[in-house]
Amino acid sequence: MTTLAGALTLAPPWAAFLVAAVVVLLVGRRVGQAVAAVLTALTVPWILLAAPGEYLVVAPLGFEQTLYRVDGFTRFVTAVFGFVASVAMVYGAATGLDRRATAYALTYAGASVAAVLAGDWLTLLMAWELMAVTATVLVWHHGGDAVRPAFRYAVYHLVSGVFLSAAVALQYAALGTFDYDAGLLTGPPLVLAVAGVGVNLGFVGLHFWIPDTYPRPHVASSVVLAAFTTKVAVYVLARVAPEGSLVVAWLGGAMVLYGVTQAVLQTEMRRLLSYHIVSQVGYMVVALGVASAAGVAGAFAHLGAHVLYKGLLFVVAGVVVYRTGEESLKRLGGLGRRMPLTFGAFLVAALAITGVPGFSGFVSKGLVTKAVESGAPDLLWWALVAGSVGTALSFAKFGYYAFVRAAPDEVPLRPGTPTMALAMLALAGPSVLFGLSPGLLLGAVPGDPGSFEPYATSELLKAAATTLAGVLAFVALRGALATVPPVDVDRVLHPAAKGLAQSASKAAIAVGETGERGVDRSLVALAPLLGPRDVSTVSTVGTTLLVLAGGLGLALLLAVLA
Amino acid sequence: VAVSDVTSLWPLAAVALPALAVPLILASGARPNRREAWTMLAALGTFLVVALLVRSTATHTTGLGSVVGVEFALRADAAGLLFALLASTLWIATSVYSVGYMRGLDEHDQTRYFAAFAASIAATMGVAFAANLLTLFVFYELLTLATYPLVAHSGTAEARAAGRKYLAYTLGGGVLAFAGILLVGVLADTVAFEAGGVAGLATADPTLARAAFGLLVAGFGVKAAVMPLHGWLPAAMVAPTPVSGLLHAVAVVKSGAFAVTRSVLYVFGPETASDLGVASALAVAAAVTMVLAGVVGLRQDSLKRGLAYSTVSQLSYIVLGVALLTPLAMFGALLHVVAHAFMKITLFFVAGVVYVETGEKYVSDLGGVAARLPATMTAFAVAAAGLVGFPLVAGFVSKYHLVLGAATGPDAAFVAAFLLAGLLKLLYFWPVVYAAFHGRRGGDDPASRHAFAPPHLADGGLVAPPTHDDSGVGDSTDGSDAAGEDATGVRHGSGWERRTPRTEASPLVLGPVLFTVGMAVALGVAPTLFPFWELAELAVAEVFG
Repeated sequence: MTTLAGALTLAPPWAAFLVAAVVVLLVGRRVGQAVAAVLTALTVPWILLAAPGEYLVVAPLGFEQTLYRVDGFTRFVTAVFGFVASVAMVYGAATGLDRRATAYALTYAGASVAAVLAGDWLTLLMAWELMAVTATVLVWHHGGDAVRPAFRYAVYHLVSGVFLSAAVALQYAALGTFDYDAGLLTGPPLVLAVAGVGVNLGFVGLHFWIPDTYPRPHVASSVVLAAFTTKVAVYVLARVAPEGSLVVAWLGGAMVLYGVTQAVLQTEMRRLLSYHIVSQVGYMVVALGVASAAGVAGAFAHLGAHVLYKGLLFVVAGVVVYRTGEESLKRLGGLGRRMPLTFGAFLVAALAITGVPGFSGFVSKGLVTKAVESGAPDLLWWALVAGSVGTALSFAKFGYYAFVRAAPDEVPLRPGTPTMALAMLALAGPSVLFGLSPGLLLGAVPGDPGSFEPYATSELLKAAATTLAGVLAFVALRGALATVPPVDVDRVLHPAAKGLAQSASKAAIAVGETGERGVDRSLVALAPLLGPRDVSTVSTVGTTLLVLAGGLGLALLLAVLA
Repeated sequence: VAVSDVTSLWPLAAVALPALAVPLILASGARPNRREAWTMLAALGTFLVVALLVRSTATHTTGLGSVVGVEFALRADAAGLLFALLASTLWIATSVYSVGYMRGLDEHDQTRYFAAFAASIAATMGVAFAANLLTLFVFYELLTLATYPLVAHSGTAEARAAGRKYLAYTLGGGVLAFAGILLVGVLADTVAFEAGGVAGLATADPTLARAAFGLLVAGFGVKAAVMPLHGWLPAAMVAPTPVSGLLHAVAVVKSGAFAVTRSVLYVFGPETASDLGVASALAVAAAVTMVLAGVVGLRQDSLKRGLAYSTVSQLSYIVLGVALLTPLAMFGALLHVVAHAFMKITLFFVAGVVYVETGEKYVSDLGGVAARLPATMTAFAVAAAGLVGFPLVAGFVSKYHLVLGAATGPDAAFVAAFLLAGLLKLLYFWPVVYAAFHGRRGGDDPASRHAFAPPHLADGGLVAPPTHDDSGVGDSTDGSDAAGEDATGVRHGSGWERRTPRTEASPLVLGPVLFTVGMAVALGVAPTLFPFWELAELAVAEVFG
């Protein structure tokens, strides 16, 4: 072990995030964000050069906890997180993210990195809960119509924390340790943990917090939020269920199809992208459900590629929102000519997420599909292919309405800045690089891609067919799509939950009152002993004090005599 | 584990110091500064005595003589010291706060108030150090009497009704407990506490032993506010806020929980309680209380009543921790006595600061109040997060020990009860926090409204709804106050004058808030550095061997 590799294990990289958060609050916004961009970028070499092992083993709460674990999984995810956090800081500087929001974002990102670097279930659980609080505060900070969605966000994530807490407690009860070892025990711990992690992953039905919250806050906050929570959940799923499960794979398949279907129907840019998180995370869940060496490699490759191109998509959408003031595709158009660089960045990201050869998504999605081909039922494979078609369709739609078609009204543009361009280039770079030299990506991920050849003819044909099908579908369905209003589970879920809380509460109050009346009535018999009802407070209080003084005096007297 | 006993007057000193302050305070009624000096001196003195006892390697006992063959004695064992250290620490903070609060509101009868407060602490010390059930009972009843003038302090019809209800419940409970004590005395030939249980009870007639357990737990359960015996606690919220803070979140209610702990673990002991099957009944009652109180609390618009229901729920965390009869759960219960105290007293202090500074006491009137009271409401948010059970605040540490204790206990279903109760806390507290930080005064938008509590539905557990003509201070949403705000010429988005932590409130009330919330965080980050941890470990080792 070189001295450098050893020195880098003395403190965990999330410390840099916390230092950056403090710096931002102490110095000016611009300087603070510059320092934060550098500090978070340092995470990348920091984690890549640190020697593998477990460090900072402490017991502040009476149990042994590992705060800093370096292995193949944590290395890759932390490096990706550090990179995207740094770009998000640059982007925050470009779009005027205020100081407090920047500090909250850094704390949230730091908590996410802490969750990844945790070396035991208890530390993971703590970081998991802190992510929920810090993300809630980050969204709350935006105020206005972000306040109630942020509350719902907190509820969803506390429910997730509750399940994970229970799973970890049962694991501890069975084994007497919080060590990771071989995942959670089959039975209640595993089921509860998958349910808890499933909320953060966005399992269909538990997913609504993603499109509910992510489109609301500042555009730079959206970039930060979109990068971490679901991806930490993917990583944790790999820890929780290293053996995989066909049920999990099917749940992932449902996410792919449901997410993409909803995305196709959206007209708000950031909402459309939010549903694509559900869909894309579905690919990772399917791969982890299969859990072969190729599946794990595919899941993590897709995680890395996804964080980068989805970050870029949120950056692009944010630039459009920032410069036009419009969220809805309905009122946009013709931006390809007026914002060519942004259009270019959009194309890179859209081609990457669609899985066009030459871009990162082609490699990672190809590996996921390949792993499913040999390790899961055919129907699941077709679900992934259908998902790809839907993805192509929805980005054809996004591109057409925002950039290509003639604008319904020419909206005035705020000027873009070089910093914005820098953020877009920084994220576009790796999306192309990983597409052109897949070895860079596939060599860095845990698991084993095996004999996977991204540029085999079959892969190229599959990519061409799905992309073409998606674009053609958009051309054919463009008119029809505009007539379908999107409806999601929130219409039922949220009123039902609120109704349950309120009716349970009313019922409990009614039951309580009846019970109390009974207790009260039996105590009425005692009431005369306390003196007549209309006696003035002062005299009752006086009597009480007298009795009291007498009682205490007696006790003291006894003590002295004894 | 076996610590030797020594006879000394130190445990008595901890009881006597606050008791001696009572006449001195009453005699200095005409000179408020001297009067408050007596309170402060007694508080510091009591704390020092308890601190000395904590540092001592031996267990100190004081015999109080015997009356008609019944021994009275004090014994400062680990569990008692934990409770005494907590109460004496918080008495200092509360005394400072009381001065700021009572003077800030220009309250009447302050001499009586401070005297009764000192008397309550004396009784609490006695409860903590009581060496047997009878001594415990005497101090327990004295505590009831000493706190009555505090509950009925304002002298209004509502306060007097609450005071009577308080007396009826707690004295009624006392009668049950006394019957239980006599039965234990007959069955076991002793009423002294013994870590791990009294041997005589294990061999006694099971039916009679069960009856004794039921009487003790029901009697002491009144002050621990186990449902359906909790009704006095929300009603007692008419008391001045420092009383609600120290007595009805810490000293009185925890003396109930503490007496239950003594009964279950120091009289019956884990094995006997488990053999008799009585502990599981108590556990079920506590689990139900935990969840039901959380649900009922959701509908409370009065901030202090909401906090009271939260206390009802949290006390049952402790009772359930004791009833689970596992070392981890008992450890968690003792930690939760401490953790809950620092968090809940912070919340009550905040409610008091809000009332002193703005005159508001309903959540629906607090939209945007964080602009006016930034540090105070931040403290509220942190303490509330701790009660929900978020990490880095004391509540996480104790709650997770309780959860682990439940997972290793007889039935893992109790894990669900703890976690569900935590979720209910979030549903109650987070809307208060977001309304305070992101709402507008008198606003009708979702951000200014509690998600569940309808505005000014103050009743949620009382049989007869209290009269709500709170001398006008509470009802300022509709015009009059807003006009006053206009007159100052300061209007911001929140509808409140914007202040900084330096100018938001008197340091006499803000200081204690910052101290208690700081302790709540310190106990969440490094709990092992505080003596509470070691005392709890010692107590668990004594009981479970």
